[in-house]
Amino acid sequence: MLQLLVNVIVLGAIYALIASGYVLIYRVSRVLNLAHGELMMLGAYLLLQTATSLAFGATGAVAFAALMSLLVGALVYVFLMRWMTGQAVLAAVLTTISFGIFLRGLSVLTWGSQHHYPGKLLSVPNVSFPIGASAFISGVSLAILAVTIVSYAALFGLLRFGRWGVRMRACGQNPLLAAQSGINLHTIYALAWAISTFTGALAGILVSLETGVSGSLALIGLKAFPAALVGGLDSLVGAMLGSLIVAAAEVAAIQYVSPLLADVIPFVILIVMLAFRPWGFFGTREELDRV
Amino acid sequence: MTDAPLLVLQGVDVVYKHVVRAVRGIALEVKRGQVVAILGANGAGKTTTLRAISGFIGLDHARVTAGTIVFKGEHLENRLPHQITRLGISITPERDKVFPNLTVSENMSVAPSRLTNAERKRTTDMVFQFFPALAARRNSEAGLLSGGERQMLGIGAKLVCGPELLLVDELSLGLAPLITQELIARLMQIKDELGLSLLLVEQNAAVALQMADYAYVFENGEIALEGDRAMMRGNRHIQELYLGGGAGGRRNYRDARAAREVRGQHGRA
Amino acid sequence: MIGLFALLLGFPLIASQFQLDLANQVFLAVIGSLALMLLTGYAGQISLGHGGLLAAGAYTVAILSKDFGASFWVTIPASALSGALLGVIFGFPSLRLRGVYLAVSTLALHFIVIYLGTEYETHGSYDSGVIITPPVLLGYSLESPRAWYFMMLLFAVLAWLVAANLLRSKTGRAWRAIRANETVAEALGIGVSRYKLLAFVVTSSMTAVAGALFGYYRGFVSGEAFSIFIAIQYAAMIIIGGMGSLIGAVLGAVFVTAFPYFIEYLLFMLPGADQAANALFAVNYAAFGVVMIVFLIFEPGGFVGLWRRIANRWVTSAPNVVAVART
Repeated sequence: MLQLLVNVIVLGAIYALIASGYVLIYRVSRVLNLAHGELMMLGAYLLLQTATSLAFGATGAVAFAALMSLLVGALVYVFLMRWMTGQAVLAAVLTTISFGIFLRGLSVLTWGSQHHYPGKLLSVPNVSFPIGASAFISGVSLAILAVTIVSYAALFGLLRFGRWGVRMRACGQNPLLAAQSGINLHTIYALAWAISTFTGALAGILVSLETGVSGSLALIGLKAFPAALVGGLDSLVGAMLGSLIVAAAEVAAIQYVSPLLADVIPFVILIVMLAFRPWGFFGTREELDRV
Repeated sequence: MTDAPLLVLQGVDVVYKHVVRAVRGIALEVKRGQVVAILGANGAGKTTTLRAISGFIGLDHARVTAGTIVFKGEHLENRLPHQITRLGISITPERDKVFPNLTVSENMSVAPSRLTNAERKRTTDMVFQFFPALAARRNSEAGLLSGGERQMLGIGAKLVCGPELLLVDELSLGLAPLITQELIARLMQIKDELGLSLLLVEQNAAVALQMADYAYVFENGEIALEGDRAMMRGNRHIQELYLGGGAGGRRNYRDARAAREVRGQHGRA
Repeated sequence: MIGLFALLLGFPLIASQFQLDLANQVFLAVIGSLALMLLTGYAGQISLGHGGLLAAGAYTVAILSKDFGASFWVTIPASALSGALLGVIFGFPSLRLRGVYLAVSTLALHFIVIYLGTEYETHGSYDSGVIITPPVLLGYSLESPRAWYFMMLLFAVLAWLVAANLLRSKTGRAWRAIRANETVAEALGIGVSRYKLLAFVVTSSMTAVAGALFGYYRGFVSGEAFSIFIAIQYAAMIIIGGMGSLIGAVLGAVFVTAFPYFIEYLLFMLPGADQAANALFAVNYAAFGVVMIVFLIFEPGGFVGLWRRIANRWVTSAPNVVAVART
């Protein structure tokens, strides 16, 4: 039982780390980024590439790959999503989906379709620590927990107190007024994409250390999306809660029903939420009319 | 060069979506330290002109297709808004002047500024001093402010950007006369203190003529009439059209066509 | 028009097996694409659940023919019915949700339908999918692509007629009004909820029939065939073809269906094609993503929009209509 709780918390932390990216981009630019899962996967592949071609050691490789992802996120905005500013919702969503499809194809062409283990390449130790009498948590899982907590603290701090964070909130609320205040919207949006891709890639990188990387990693990213929506697409607190709910349901489904159900349960929760409280637990109701 | 006007528009045409011409042949200027008002009915092209200056017409699929807009010797036609802000023009829009979910101080600090941190702090203090109502609510969300306080915050937040020219779209709209009077008084004090120039767009001609040194009257996308304050106040057509006085008090816009002839008599100031 | 029909009817006489197979795939895509065009291009409702609807039709055929031995005459109407039922479910969120939220609700329903399908497979111990025997019509077993060609053509033409007639009717006008402005439509006395649901029902029903035909044609139904990629392909068809045009739906269906074969053809022109064969699907994915992005950014009006622009440039060198705004 304790082990199940640990599993829920670790899975919840993974989802939360990914979901923060959906929330950030949506909150700042009202775009739903359905390529987030693929960008997260790309982060893991960047780690793989770093591990094979540069001698950085484990920590260095993780940091390098994550920083590369920061750059990737900004480039995605500058070269792709910038064209979609002010376009219809469907066009923007489809653009992100198309970009995701492109990334899937590209990653198979570059790294092949087999499963890779960057953790082994970097000889990340496979240790686990006992919790209480009957439960264990792996070293990587602990790292995920720590990174998620630090990321959320940093994001809260940025949005609350940072000058750029306040500008991000301003852009999300009223892009016209933000531009009239002399804020360059493109800079803010690019920043949001960079940070969002960074945290998403961190999740992908850390998960790949334990379970490896292949195309299926993107699916985890897609499953984190219901978590973001259940909590409220424009709320970070909501993303944390939604992630825990989805993780708990998924762990319970694997344990008591069938592993097949695990992949669909986030979407069942999503539908239930959309039927009763579509703006999510912590989201703002007005969001429904904005889209 | 020192007494060259701050802002000069010459023969400006703005065309929406490649077809609809919103304003035609607009020529106006704002001198340093001057308050200039643009008057006119809804849809006369006032806001379009303001947007052309501040760079916002691109968002409406509009373009400046002819003419020049020059600010301190720099051409502004079809530049991006944030570039124009950096040159020293700020605008307070007609609607949605503040970010409702940010606090008053966050609203005051959100915009990039041309000022140094010290100057910025001094301007912020000055705004709070002139508008004590804002100072008292520093940490509450702007969405909770009254209409008048929002207007104050909207203007204050632009002042800390350090503009040389402030464009104000409808200062008095939706505000009680008493509040409007206070706002005007404060704004004029601030203007003198900072050496600002103001370009106002107003439907309420009484308000505009109370503040402005010079005014332009827009009709159907063109300038129908212009003149200094005394001329405007003395003009029978202005009286009839915008101040609600004069014989009959009819609001017949065709009269502005006749009024345009006045322009020839008075010439440009 | 007659020439087109002669061409369509005469095509099987000269075409190879491969070409006939491609044509059949195009016809299937045309049905689904016309259906989605009604929903998105005319009624203005977003759906990313098209894969799930196709799957629903295919599974209806699988379940009825496998477990109940039902014939073609039963399974096709039944799949239309199950599609209509799903349409109500898919459409229900649209009464309250719009834009992104509606898109994700249909996406979620897609995953749920696929899950139920695979669940059926595991419980019926059809581990790698359900085999479907070819239907027998009037004593003639539909097996070869040539035999299927006429069946698919018939259904595609039927789909076109249904779509075109609906659009000419009161329903079509109501859909266009809803797409233009829901509030205004409501004010005009149009039953917005009713017509939205109807749009989902019609679309889902048509798509499920396409899915049923697909199941029969492939002779095999498996959840893996209906990935989210399918839904994206259909969305791509209506966008690449041109939103708000039935011809656009057909053009988009042809383009998207033929696209992988075109990529394959190009790939094998390159040297070292043997190695490339393994990566074919990846190249296809990447290229599809790029083409889709190019259309979304540079020609959101699709082929039809492109054609209109070119036609306009050639036909009218008329002077700019410059009017002074008097609003």
